[in-house]
Amino acid sequence: MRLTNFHCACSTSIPAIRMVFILQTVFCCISLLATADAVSAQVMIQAQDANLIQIDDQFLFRSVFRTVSNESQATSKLQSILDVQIDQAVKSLDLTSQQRAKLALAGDIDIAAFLNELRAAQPAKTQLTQREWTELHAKMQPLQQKITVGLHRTGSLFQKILSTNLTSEQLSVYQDLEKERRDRQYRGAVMATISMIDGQLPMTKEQREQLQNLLMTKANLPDSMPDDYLRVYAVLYALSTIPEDDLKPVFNEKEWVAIKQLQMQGQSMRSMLIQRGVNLQ
Amino acid sequence: MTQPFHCPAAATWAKRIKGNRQRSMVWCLILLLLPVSSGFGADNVLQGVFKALGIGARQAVVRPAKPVEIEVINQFSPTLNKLLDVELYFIQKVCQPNADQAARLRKFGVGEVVTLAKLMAENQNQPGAVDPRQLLIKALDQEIEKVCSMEAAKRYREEMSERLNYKQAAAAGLMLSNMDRDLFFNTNQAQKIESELRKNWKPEWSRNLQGLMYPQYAPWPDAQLIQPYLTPEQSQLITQQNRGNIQFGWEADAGFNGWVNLSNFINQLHEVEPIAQEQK
Repeated sequence: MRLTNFHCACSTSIPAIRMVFILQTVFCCISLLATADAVSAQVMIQAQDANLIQIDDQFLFRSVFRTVSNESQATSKLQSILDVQIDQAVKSLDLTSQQRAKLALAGDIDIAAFLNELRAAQPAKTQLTQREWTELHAKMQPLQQKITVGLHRTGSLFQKILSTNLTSEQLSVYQDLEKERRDRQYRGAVMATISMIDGQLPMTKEQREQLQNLLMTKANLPDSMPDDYLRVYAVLYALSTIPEDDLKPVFNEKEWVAIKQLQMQGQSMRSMLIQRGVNLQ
Repeated sequence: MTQPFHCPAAATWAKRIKGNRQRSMVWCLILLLLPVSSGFGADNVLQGVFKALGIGARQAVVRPAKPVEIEVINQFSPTLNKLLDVELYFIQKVCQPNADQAARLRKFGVGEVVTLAKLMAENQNQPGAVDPRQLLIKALDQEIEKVCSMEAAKRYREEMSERLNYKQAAAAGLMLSNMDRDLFFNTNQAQKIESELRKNWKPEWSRNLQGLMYPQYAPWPDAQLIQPYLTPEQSQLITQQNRGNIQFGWEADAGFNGWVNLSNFINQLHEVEPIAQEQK
């Protein structure tokens, strides 16, 4: 009797269990379909995002200056830098009011020309395709470079007016000041690169001094040191130009293999440095 | 009127079927609820049903053997081992220990790497909280005193001090160049500001020179420190400065960045032993 009851219970419950499984399978399928749908929807959104890149009308100002958020802040920053540069030139070179006025006008023209260039590069639309985005980046690079190097530095109208309107005494003082500034920049970049090497190939005081001396006197350092991370590459390139007879005695055999490796790395940077506007001798 | 057909046997079966239906409904509910109450999700509901019914193989219980510690050590140890190799190489150059002394220093260093790895793991949510190179140098400095001669220990201390001073001077030079870019210092200003920077140096300024290579994000000294040497125009400009911040991670902070890569040289210094084995 017990057996019969058990048999009956089982015979009727098994289809019910099957039903439960079927129902659960259906629920699972529905939920899987829903998930798949959500994923595909997400992919579509991402695909849309990948195809169209959203920018606003101040995008270029932020990207080129990095720490300003709009055109007005960018203009104000450039104007302040120009004021400092003129003020320092007036004090160091004892400029007349006429010379000062000419410099201020030249500086203003440089700023206006740069801002015009920046506005012209700003795309008219706010959604860009991947291709338009790449083109925009290509336009941005030289503009960023101008800001990194300094708007009123080499190649600017300000520099032309400064060098053509100074008396011979003023020009001599100016050249000395520029040389000192360049030397400070070289020394900072050279010492920083040596210190970075020292972190992986520790040197004695004597080795560091010898290497610094060789880099400052026997290497081809650029006309003007870049202001960003390219400084390290410029010094590594300079390292590759030191004659082996001078450099090899500074290191032991094991270290020399590592230095040769750095020299090769430096050589490989040459074309990139030139492409980025670094004037290598 | 015809009487409906009445069969006692059929009535009994009908009752039994009705009872079975009720029982099957109860079974359905139990089967639905069991996996849920056992914490099984939709993806492993069958497993839950079988487990609830006591059917199926038992799940293997994986008991990790002290996994956290080894994982933590393995996460940080490759770079910390490189750091140890570099610093032991420096000791070898400066102190010239004999084989026994070198072995004792290495053994001590390997232990320090484990300690540092744990410390790094404990502080991994606070970037920059731990300077592994400085801590390792400090620990090795104390051990050299015990293991090597007094002269060797003195030589090491002097050379290490020169090395750190050089790095600080390099960082100060970069900082000055970054300021000079917009402030156009004259010679007098440059000298005074550089000297002021060195006098009031903060160790975090020179921990990673990489950050100083990006003038927009590089650290700047407090305005009060340099203001006495600036013109009003320069002072006004630095108050307008909106500075960003840049981080490169602890490995770059420890001196291993992609710009200067001497991995081949470091790998030759020592074949790295797995710390976990060393622990055993």
